[in-house]
Amino acid sequence: MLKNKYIFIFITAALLFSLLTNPAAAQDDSLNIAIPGRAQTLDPAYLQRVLSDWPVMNSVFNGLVKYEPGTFEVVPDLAEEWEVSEDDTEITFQLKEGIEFHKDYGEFTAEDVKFSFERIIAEDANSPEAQSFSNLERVEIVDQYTVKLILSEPMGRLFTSTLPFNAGLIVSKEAVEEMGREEFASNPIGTGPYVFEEWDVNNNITLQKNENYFEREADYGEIVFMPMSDPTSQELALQSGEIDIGQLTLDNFDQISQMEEFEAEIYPDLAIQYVAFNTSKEPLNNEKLREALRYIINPEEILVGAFAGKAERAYSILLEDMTGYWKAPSFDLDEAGEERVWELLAEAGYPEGEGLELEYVTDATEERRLIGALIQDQLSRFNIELNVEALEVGPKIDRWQEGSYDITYARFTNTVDPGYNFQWNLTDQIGKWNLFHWSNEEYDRLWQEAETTLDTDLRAENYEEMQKLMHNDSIGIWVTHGVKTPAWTTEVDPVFSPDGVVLPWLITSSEE
Amino acid sequence: MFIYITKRLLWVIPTILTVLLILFSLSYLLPGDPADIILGPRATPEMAEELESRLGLDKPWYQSYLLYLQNIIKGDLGTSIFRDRSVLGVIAEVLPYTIVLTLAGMGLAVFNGISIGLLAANYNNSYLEKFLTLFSFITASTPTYIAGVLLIVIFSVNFNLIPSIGIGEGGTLSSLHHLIGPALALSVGWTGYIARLTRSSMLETLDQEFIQTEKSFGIPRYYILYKYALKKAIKPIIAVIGLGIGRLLGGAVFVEVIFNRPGLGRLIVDSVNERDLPLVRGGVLVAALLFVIANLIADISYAYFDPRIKQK
Repeated sequence: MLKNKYIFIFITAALLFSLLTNPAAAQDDSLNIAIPGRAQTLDPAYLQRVLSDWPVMNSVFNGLVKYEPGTFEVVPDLAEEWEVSEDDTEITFQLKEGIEFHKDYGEFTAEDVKFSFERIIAEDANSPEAQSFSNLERVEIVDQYTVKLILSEPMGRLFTSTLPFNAGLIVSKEAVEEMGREEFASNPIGTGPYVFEEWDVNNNITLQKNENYFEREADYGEIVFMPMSDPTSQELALQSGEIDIGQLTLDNFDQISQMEEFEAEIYPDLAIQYVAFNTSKEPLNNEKLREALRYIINPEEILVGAFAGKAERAYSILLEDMTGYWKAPSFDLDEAGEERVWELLAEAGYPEGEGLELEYVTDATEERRLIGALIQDQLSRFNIELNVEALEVGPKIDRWQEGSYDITYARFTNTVDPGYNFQWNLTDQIGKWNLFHWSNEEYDRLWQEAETTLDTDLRAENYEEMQKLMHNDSIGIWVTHGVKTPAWTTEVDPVFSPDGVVLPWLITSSEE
Repeated sequence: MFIYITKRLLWVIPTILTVLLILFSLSYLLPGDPADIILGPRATPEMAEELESRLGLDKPWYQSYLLYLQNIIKGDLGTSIFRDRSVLGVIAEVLPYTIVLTLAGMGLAVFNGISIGLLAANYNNSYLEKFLTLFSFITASTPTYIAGVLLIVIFSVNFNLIPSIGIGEGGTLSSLHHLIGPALALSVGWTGYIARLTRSSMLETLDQEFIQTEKSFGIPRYYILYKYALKKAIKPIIAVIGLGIGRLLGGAVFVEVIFNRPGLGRLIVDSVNERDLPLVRGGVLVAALLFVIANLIADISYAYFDPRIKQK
């Protein structure tokens, strides 16, 4: 009994003592960054979730080229310079010399470039990135520091999204061959500013600074990526000082961003959210009717109602500073006058909107139901009935692919390359991901042409043209790109990409 | 007693078989094309095909069900779709955290609940008793999720006393420190319940003749309370503890998500979000097993403490 008492007192004392030590101020040289979910893999050839996997990969690996921090402009990374052949099908890269892989996996050479790209297009690779390299035939080693990509056809997206994003990251050939694909996915070896250290049972990923980095050394000695799927606990952990960088919810954005200890900013997401009309089915196969709907459905109200007024209106699939951006004219009801809408409805065969009943398919999430209700309300002002059907993902995709709906609301993630973002509206995507069920030969042709050229001006021209085609047919309404809302303690000074993704190795301490 | 336990054990078999059938039919009940839902637009046809064969969708359902049962008997729960690891390995890694959390929550609930209940019984009809009754009423009806967020707001954000996330970096002390918040959040609801039960059981016992006799012998009050009354009053409380474990396991899901701890609950939530079917199946199966075992213990301890039950 007496002995137990002593043990009890000891434990209590130990606990009390540990309570006195502040858990937040643990290590100043360590940076804790919240990611919205468990990272799925750290092998760049198999990236699954951009928001969780990419910030880690981006810190461990380099590509031949990269986006200039804070922009989408492409600049050299592991490559010194490059040359493109006359017909755009042979690209020769001159590599930087003397760059070492992490953990003594040797010098980075042309061998590693060949290996990194060819493992993606190999038949048994099963890599989702194979499409990023669709026209790559093979990679030729010219000498130790010179490498040549041989393409079957020119590839428009090579420099815009393939090479500077995950598909273009260079892995250590020796490491992959030694470990095998499965082990490498949780034990990555690259040349980047941070070295992989540990992936623990709580799915936290720890990286250590690369002391021999070929560019400016990172400021923080250690980075820990912590998956936190619950937005509330992310906000609370930020406030208790346990993470340095996280995301805020729109509801609490104002409150927390006004606190002295925190800073926050709103960035547009790279995704596009839109209202899609099913153009191949009665009654919305009628262009007049779709035009009327473009006046009636007001995205501004959706932004205020469902995004707390924090998200910007989108006028294109693309962000404003991307190649080929074209601002679609907005259909403003106040400007055009209700009279105009009644006219259009009458011309479409529905005078006074009577007898018009539309099916609306959407996700069962709270936000999407709200958007559905807002649109329902807007349509009811013109006597149009909207049946909102909120479905789980599976049945929703089924309905999308069958085309059994009149209107739907969707969010598609994008890349920096317009070709990728515009591919879903091609004719051969009908029955897959073309939610407008819209087919336009000219659109298909322009897309194909832009896919197979490196001429940026020609591509920009084509994409603008394609956006006009979509606009003329009134196939839908771009609503918003959505938002990213990173917040951080004032002790750190982070750098973000234009779409609000943190670039971990550029974070500096603001205390110095 | 032996027959009673055997009967109870035999009941486990149909329960588990039903759970297995439901889990198996998940991939058929989920509407839509699994490859589209799980892999999204980026999937290549080869990836979709590989996935279908992994989910057994390329065979008739009875064949894959038999295969599924066979594998489970062999202890093979399949391979996770996104983790390239065996389901059993993934679960084995996180299960200890859930068990520790549940036991800690149980311990706190029992200790605090009995203490509060004793206090209330001892000071019956006082203001303290009224306060404690109200307190246990409130805690008994506080959902775990709310309790967790409140604890974090008060003790992590405002006073910076306990960590709000994670399990600490090695070391018993750090682990215990990280366990305080989650265990407390988990225990809250059950604490109130046990407190109320202790109080009424104590009052009932204190009313009985043998206590009155002891009182008339002039035995000190605290001695009667702790030595005789508690010993008798505690039996029904021990019996409900087994039931509590099942309920606490459910609460652990919320606690693990809020406090960002590894564990079975969070694993199931994550794998549902990722639509990692084999992992969902494995996780739910293990949770169901734990639940069944907890209930079995509850049943048996009931029978042990109240012999009338096993005769029914």
